[in-house]
Amino acid sequence: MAEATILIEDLPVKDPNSKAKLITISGQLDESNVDTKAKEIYQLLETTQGKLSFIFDLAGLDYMNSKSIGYLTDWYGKITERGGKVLIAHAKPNIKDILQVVGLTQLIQMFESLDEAKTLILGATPQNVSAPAPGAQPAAPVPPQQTETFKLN
Amino acid sequence: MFDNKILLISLSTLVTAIPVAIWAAIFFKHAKDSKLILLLVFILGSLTPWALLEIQELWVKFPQLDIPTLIETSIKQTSVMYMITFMFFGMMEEVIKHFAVRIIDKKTIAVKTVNDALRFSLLAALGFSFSENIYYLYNLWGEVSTAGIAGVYIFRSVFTMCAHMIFSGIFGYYFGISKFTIDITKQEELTGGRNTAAKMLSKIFNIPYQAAYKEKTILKGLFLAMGIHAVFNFLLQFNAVIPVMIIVILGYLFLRYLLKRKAGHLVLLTDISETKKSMLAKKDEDVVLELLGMWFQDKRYVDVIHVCERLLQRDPDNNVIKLFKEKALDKIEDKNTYKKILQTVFKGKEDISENDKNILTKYIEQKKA
Repeated sequence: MAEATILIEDLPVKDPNSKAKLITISGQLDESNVDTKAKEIYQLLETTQGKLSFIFDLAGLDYMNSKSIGYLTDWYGKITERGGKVLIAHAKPNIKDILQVVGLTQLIQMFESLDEAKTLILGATPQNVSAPAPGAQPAAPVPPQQTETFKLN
Repeated sequence: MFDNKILLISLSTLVTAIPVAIWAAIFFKHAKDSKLILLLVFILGSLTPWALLEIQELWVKFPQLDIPTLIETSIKQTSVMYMITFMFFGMMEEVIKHFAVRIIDKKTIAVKTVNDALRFSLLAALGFSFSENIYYLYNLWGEVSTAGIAGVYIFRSVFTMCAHMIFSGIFGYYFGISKFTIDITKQEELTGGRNTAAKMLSKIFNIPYQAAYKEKTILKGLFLAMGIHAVFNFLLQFNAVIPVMIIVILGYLFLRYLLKRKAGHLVLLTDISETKKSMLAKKDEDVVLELLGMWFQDKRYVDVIHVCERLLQRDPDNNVIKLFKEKALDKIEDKNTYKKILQTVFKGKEDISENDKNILTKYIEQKKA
């Protein structure tokens, strides 16, 4: 059974009606653990009211399976519905590559450092947002009714 | 003159060779494969009617295998008996022709694309038809008038020859498809499907699923060819020229339909011996393929097409990805979803990104072409 850990921290946001979370995922997200780990994020989505933003720190994530990509898309749909943002920081090249192929990098901004992502969430303009890889094409918009199909748990 | 056998055989061969030469010129002109292999297929095809005659000789030695006599003795009504016998021979012809293609492919491994299989089958049928027509014409000299011979010659050169090629073409299509069993079964596995007939064959003959799937595909083509040939022979017994023409045209349309689907499945035109290496790690690519399977099952065909386009930039020769893409396009086509995409997947025309427009435009342009 592969190991994966998810750490959730609050980020200080100036707007009292908004909340931001830093979600650090490390290890390998595969069939043996992805549903359990995803539940933690879904619980967070349910228990947190108002505008919510997520920064995923994927520096320690070595592998993510297709289901976890599905979950990520679903979370993106739910967060943006509520006016929040989803950002990814520190993703390893193979993870970036997968996300780019499935079109998620066109929906979710990727950052090379955590500070840049934090800056965006806190309201300032980031300096080094990673550009889409050459040849990448914009993803098809994911309407809410489509994101529902990713509820795999 | 009619006593000179050599002269009659030469004359029959000469006139029969005219339509054969025209067809052969077409096949050889467009062939990228070795001309020698094509010639071998044609020669083997032209030997198959003689093999059929040899089988009939065997029935004399082993009467327990003599199915035509069994039909003759079992069915009292002469007309029905003749009809069934002719249908049986039609099916036998398909079986024997298909062996010509399988034998050459087994020896040379020359069939790498559906087009190869199709060309081989057409040439085997042309060879068969060539020998059969020589045999028919030779037996007609002195028996019927010159006008009668001319009528038979024209009918056999045009309709019977075309019919043989169409029947074999249908088999050839499935034989070609069977070459891509690994990709097709992988794609089906990712979308959660397994073929019942292949599973049964696998259990009955205790062979791996993929081998069973391959045989199932080949047998499907063979049975279809045998079935249409049996109907063709059945109608011939009534001298019903119009229905015979209709069955030939229907067979052609069916073959065209199959080829149209194949044209959509561009993957099947790719030479599997010249594949480029993927730029993605296998583990990562498997993740995306799994995702494609999930989205395909969820009927998110537009998303599947998008991902396939990106994935093909990194792995241009992956047949499974191509199958996903073409099947997604087929699904869109089946339901005339262009309008549906605009109405359901996107909120409105203005919501379609430039890339979505590009893909849809490209698809529509392909359809028009």
